[in-house]
Amino acid sequence: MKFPLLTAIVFLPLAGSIMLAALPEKEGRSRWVAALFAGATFVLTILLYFGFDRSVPTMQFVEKLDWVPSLGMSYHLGVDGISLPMVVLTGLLSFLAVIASWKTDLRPKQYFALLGLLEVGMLGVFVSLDFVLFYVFWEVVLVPMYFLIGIWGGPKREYAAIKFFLYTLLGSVIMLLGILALYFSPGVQTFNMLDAASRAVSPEMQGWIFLAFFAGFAVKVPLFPFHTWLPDAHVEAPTAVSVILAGVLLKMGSYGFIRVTIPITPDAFKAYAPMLALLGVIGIVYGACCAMVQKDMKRLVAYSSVSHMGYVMMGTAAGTAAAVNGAVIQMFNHGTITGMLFLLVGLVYERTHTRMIDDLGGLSAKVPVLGGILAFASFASLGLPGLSGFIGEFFILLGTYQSVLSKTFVYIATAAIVLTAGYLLWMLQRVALGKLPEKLEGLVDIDMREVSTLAPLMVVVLVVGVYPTVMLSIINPAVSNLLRLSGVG
Amino acid sequence: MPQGLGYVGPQALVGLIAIAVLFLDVVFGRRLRAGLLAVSAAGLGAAALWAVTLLGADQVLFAGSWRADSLSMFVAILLAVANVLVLVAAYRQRMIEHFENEFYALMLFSVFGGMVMAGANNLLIIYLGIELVTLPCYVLVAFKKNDLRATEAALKYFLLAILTSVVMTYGMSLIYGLTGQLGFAEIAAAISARGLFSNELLVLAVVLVSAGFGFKLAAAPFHFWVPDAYEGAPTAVTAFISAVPKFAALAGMMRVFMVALGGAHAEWTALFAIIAVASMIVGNLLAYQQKNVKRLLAYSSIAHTGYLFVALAAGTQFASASVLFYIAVYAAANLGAFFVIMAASGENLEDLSGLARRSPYLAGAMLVFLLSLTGIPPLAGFMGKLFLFGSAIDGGLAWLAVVGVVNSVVSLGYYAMIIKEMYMGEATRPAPADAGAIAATTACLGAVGALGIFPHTIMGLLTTVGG
Repeated sequence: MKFPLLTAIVFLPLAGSIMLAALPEKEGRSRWVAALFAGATFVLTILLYFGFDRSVPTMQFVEKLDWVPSLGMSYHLGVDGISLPMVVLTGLLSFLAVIASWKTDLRPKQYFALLGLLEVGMLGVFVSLDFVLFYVFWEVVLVPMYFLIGIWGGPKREYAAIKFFLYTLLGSVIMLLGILALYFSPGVQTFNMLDAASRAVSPEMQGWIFLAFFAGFAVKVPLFPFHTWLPDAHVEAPTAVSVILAGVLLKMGSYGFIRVTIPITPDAFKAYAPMLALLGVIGIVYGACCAMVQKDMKRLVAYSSVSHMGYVMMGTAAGTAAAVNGAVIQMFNHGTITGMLFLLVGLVYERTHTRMIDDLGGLSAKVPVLGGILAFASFASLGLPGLSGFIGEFFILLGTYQSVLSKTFVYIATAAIVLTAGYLLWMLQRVALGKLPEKLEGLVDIDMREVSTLAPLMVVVLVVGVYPTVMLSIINPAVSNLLRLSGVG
Repeated sequence: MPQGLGYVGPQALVGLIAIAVLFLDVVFGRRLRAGLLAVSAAGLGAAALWAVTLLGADQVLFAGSWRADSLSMFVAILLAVANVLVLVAAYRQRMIEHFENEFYALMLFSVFGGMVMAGANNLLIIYLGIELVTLPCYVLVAFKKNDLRATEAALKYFLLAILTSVVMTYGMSLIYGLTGQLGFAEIAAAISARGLFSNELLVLAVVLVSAGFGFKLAAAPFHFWVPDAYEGAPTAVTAFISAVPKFAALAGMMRVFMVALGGAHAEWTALFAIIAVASMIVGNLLAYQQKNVKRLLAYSSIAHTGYLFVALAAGTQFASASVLFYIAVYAAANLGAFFVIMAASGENLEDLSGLARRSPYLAGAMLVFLLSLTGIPPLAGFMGKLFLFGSAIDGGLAWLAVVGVVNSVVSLGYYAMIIKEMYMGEATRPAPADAGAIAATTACLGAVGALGIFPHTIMGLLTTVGG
């Protein structure tokens, strides 16, 4: 029997969490156990990457077991060119999150156990091919997030945690109704994602089902105006949790749009595409403008996430091969780049005990490594050619221009790049350059452990930026196949 | 023994054990405390196992007045298991010292009545069953004789229950008057034969009978007794009345409405939908204000009855199966929550403060129960709500499903209040140590997990039910 690689990847962190819960508390032990399991999971995702056949555009490593046969529910996993980058991203960021949380001293056992549980949910979402299973994993993410933010977060953590939970849950249960409506649609009667895609859904039902899924995915992306949970959740979450939240959780929303709404409700998708693109573009500009006026570095990065995900949504809505390719690779890139940014903000906070830009300055003189990496991350985020952010943006803009959507979207989005550069470079100037405040005279530069959380991300950003085929050769066949089969774009 | 009586074995066994427990004390004296628990639990366990073997049956007995089929057996199993759990949890409670045999006998009689009602095929048996189920409960609520709150709760429960019983009897008499029949199959035949589908008197009868059942089920607008009774009664009794009379009434209601009044579906769908919406809204909104966890769970019970009515309004076969699945799931989570409260020996929110530090296991169990009640995957409550709302959509009541899911989100808010208190509060009380309650909690935990991952074990046999 073939080794069930996907099941192993999804449930290995769970084994880690259970072991952590079972072991008695001992000084420093839980982080090693967590690192072991997260690292092993990451290695498995790399194996998946190298075992992936790039010539096959359909699902690979498929595992299928009947769950509730009378209702058409099955335990169905599979990975293709769209989900593989997400799986690798999740494995990488989860591992780095554990390393970044090395010095957690408040209830470390529970902390790492919850991180493991979170990883299970995220991985499960990206490889699920059955709607109920997809929903189960989607929701599994909520409870650990609630505790991670609510117990280990900042001053307003309890508020941010329950706001995140309620907001996301509301979107999710509406999505559940969409799943049920899809199942009971005449001619469908299945929870199997692949089968449902091949069975036609009537146009009226498509409209309702699309809107139901929209509720769930739009909150997660986050699409303007459903983004209001994000700044509080990101700012109050501890560093590593912010990294995962921005790096992976946001991708679940846009992944959902590509994986679910394009194949299942293609007519509704095409009809609503202009609205999606509009909301995306508004998000780009709104996010950038909000980021520009932030005094808190972490909140600035949070709003930059809203802005960047706006590009992803615009590309998805455009529906052409180039645009959707750009969207998927940008999802991967944004995960790595914003992951870096949040890690850096966390490092600054640990040393200076402030995230307020006005209280910072001249860091690159005192802590040059930190300052240098901050500069690198900022350039990556604004889409400097040569780094990965440019690749995604370029393809999104190109693909949207080639699509049936109004060219105005492209003009605004392109102009917004200047805004993005604006707030990032201004932040960089105020934080890394300029005069070092007296309070910060005693700053210590980042050590090897902290560099080790950033270095892999820097390497990935550079490699994908210079040689994007590494990712695009995987993404393109799946995207082209998906768009061709569903008749979008 | 004639062949037919074998089918009513589990029920009869429970009745016999109930009588036996009353008299065992006379024969053996006060030394028999553990023995009584053993006898009761063994009897209930045997009855449940016997009922499992009879699950595929479909027999009409006692001149057509009682039916042994999957519904009656499933409910019998559920009631028996719920009772065993409550007895185990209540084993060490001081209030039942010196009165064990009465306590156990009352519960056993109530379960017996519930089992009778679950198989009813005749209006008189329904009435008999309802009274037999609830009469012991009035006494049980007042078990702490010197507690003013308990006595007040019992009195409220009793008076309101009597009122609704009378109302229901009047409704049943109207049905008898219109159809001339008491047996369900005969009533259904008479309704269609005489063309009574839109008859005003029948509609009135439907409303009145619904009132009677709705009261027992803690449905709004018949819910006013629930918060006081749940809060005032001793917690073990609260756990009992949140399960046994409710499930028995549900089974009885399904019998009456699916079989006898099945043809008049159009009349009562709208009524059930209104009851569903009212219950969900009343339960979920009023739970927020509560500082007493038992009262909060009382309001949450009202809300969960609302979710049940969402599926009941749909009226399909799948809806009946999902309702039965849901009460199993709900029983596990709700009883578990009450057992945790018993173990932590405190019923106010502040008594649960910092439970995560005092007893991580109990806090974790409570977390699982509350999340299951909210409907978060991969717990059983999610599967239950998936089926309930799915059957509503399937039955053409998509709007009701929307109200249901929005209410589920709203309910998270007040369950989160408890979760927050347990995990983020100060631990000031001592660690819980009630072995019985902890054991019962474990059993419920297992059920919640198992049913969430393997719902088809029960759903498979339930889809044959509800004809």
